[in-house]
Amino acid sequence: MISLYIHIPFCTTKCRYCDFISWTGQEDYFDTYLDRLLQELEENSDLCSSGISTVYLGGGTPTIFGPHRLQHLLSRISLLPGISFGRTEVTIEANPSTLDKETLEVLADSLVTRISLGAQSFTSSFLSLLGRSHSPKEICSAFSACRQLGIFDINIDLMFALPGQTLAEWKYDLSSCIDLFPDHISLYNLEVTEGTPLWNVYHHKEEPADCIPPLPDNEVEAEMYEYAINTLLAHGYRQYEISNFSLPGKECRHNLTYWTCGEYLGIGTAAHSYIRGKRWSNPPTLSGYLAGISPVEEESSPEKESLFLGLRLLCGVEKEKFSRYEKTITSLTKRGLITETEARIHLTRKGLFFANEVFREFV
Amino acid sequence: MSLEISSIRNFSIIAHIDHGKSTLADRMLEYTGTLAKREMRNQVLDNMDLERERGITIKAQAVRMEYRGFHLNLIDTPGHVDFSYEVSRSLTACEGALLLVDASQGIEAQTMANAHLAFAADLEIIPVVNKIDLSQAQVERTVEEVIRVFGFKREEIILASGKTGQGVEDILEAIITRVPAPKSETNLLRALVFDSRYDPFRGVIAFIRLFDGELKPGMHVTMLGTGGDFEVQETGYLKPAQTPSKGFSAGEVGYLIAGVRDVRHCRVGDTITSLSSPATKPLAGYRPAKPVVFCGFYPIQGEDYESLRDAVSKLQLNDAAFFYEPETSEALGFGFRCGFLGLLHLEIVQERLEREFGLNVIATSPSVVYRLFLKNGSTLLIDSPTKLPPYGDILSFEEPYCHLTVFVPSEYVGAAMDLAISRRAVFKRMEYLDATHATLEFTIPFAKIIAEFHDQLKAVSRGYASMDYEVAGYIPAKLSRLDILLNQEPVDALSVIIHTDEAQSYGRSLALKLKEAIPRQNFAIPIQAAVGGKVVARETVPALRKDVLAKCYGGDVTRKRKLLEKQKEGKKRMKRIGHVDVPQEAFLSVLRMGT
Repeated sequence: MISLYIHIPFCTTKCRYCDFISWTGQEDYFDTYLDRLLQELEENSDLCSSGISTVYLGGGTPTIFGPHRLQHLLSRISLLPGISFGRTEVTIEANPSTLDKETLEVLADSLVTRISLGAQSFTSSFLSLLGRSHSPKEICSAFSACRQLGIFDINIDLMFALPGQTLAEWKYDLSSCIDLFPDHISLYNLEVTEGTPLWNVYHHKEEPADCIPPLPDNEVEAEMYEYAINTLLAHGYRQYEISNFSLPGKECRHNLTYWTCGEYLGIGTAAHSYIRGKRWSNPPTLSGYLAGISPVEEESSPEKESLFLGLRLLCGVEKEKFSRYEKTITSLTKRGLITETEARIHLTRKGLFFANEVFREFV
Repeated sequence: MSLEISSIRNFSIIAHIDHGKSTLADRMLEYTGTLAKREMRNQVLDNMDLERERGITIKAQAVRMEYRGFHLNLIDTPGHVDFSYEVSRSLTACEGALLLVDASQGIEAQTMANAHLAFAADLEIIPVVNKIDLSQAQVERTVEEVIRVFGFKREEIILASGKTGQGVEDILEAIITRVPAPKSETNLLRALVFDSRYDPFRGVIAFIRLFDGELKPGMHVTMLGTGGDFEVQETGYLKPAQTPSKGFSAGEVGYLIAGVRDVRHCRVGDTITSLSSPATKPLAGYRPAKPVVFCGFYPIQGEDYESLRDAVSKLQLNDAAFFYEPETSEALGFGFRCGFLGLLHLEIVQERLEREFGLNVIATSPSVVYRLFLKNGSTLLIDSPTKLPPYGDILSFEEPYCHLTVFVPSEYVGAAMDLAISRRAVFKRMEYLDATHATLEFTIPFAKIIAEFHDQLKAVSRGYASMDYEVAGYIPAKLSRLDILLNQEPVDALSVIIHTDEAQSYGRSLALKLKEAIPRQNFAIPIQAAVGGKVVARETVPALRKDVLAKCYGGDVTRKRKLLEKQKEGKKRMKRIGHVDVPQEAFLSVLRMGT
């Protein structure tokens, strides 16, 4: 069985921090793109023949695609081997402002079992600073609309360490999120990546349209993360990965595939695949992808990758995988970054904060 | 083969930088047919790429021209203050000199300095006002200036343009008629080495001026200074390509190859004589070039040490004034302590290491040579802060000082004066050359000159001021060693010797710079600046509390792995001092500060 990722690289607006492959104003290509996706699925039918265990529609903003195209795509997916209506985890990412009633109804009656809402913040000033197109109110109404249709597991994406954000402001965002009681919460600190408008502002390459305050200090960022872990645990969530929390049994199985080095097929622009020990990625440009340019193989180091990906999970990695690293394990244990159970090695609470230091030992 | 001595003329061109020396020389080569136009690369005399690019001459060269039955030897001279020693020994080989003054710039500091060297060497000087074709040329004013400053007669001054070739014939005529032919005192061989170059195949190529006697291939020669027995393999002229000759007679200028494998056995300024019937009296002019500025060179990548060693030894083959010895720094590892004639010389060597040898080096703060009197009665010369003995042993310090001459348009007199005084200069006197130009004379600690004084002088005078200096001796000074401590451990590479009352403010800015350049680590890092064991400034790099990649999904695996690998590599390249990982950039940013 393999997991299937489908990338839909379109958005209504581009967020200021976004470094994903996505474009705005390409509505004219939606149909062609859908055709190419279906064609690519066809071309890879032998890879799918072992069965599809999970499906994830990501972006961009998949819901921008509109109810008809989504319906078309999802019904084609439902024919793939191993797909079981209502049982197979099928996630779609959604921007609260693009989740209109018609789209939501189509999704509710489709294969989709799980929806991931890109909320990011419940404070309007932060949302506009980030360049998000929705309001806090729209998050809540999209959330309750999903709940009313009654069939989705819902994830909320939340960001912290936003420009100028204080610990108190973060507490507000987090509690607003918990008030909705989603099944799953993903928490990310804002990463300012080179090439994004936000990076340009911070590196004085661009005049900000509005005044963007400095990013919180590393110390504050750590306090925010610590506060979130404690608060979520107190509300019955389980942290199963560095940035991911869920109610028991509501973990995202699709993402678990990535961290456990399971096999996955990615289709769409820039989508990555990992099957039979090989990694490859599709062309990162729209024109390249539509023209059918072949994917590029990427080098892979299965051993290194399985260690640093596996250690992101709080359950850690089987001990025997570390046989070559005895000394490193001893030193990391001594520094309080990792610990072991009978069969596995995993990050400690302190290790969660310095995970990169642990990972660097294994790459 | 013997050349009639009366047909020989040996001359130099002396000028301030950029006054058009090389271009004028090109026109002379062209006019005399030494080089056809199509063979001309611009500025034949400036051989090294670096020279051509910076528009300065570093090494002297000699070219032979034939003109109306006369043999003219042009001995080029460097135009920068760091190389004044090289100027003086080139002048020793001549009977005359063209004194070039740019008509748009007028007389400048090096014009004065080099003219004085030429007068001192008793040369016949032909003043030339150059670049008269320029639209901004002020020919009449420059002529007046030359008359007033040097006391020439109006009719002695030749107007010329290296660009158009105007005046070149007048110059050549003046060389024949005004510059005296060489004179020979004895028949015993005496030849002055005025420059040398190392050729990997032929060994040392010496550039010589024969004063007395004859020199032929096959003869055995020795050096009056350093001795030895060398068989002359080849003699010849530069036209400007090496052209072998049957030998030299008195008065001639050319090159000599005698199987010398080491430039130190053929020192510039030494006298070559015959092994069988040697002269006893050496020619005047031998003075070993003494490095006055020192710094450490360290490879940025430790594994480049061997290549660096190879490179500095090769550079020394060509540059007798460049000094080096191995040095170890706890912070930077293995490297070399290097000595230079001045800051420009240092920069040139560093640039050559990068360009010609592809090496990236860290240069530690340049230092002058301090003189220390110890309590046990002994005296110590120190060219590096790390060589300082314990404070308790030191009775007193002395530092080298210079006579500094600043040549400046009158509207910038105040700015130049303020700059010099702020650098601890003591004003001596001022003289107006005319209504618009003045010379200012100071004494100033040499350490203050090497700390980018020249650049700052240019900055405060919009590029118009020029300067010349001469290291004059030692004066008592209140000096201290400033140490930087990272996490309580001293970082030897960042120590400096500094005036005691400047130590605190310098220490403060250094600590602040370091704070910005050192990445946060798992613990708080104190950065302290200490003078004689007393902390004068402190900064703290706060502890890193969180270091984790928030996101990692299917599409990120390769990218994130590479990012982690890169971070790991970066950590490896950092120097670990007192448990603190210090990136190279941190060293670079503070070493660039200057004291």
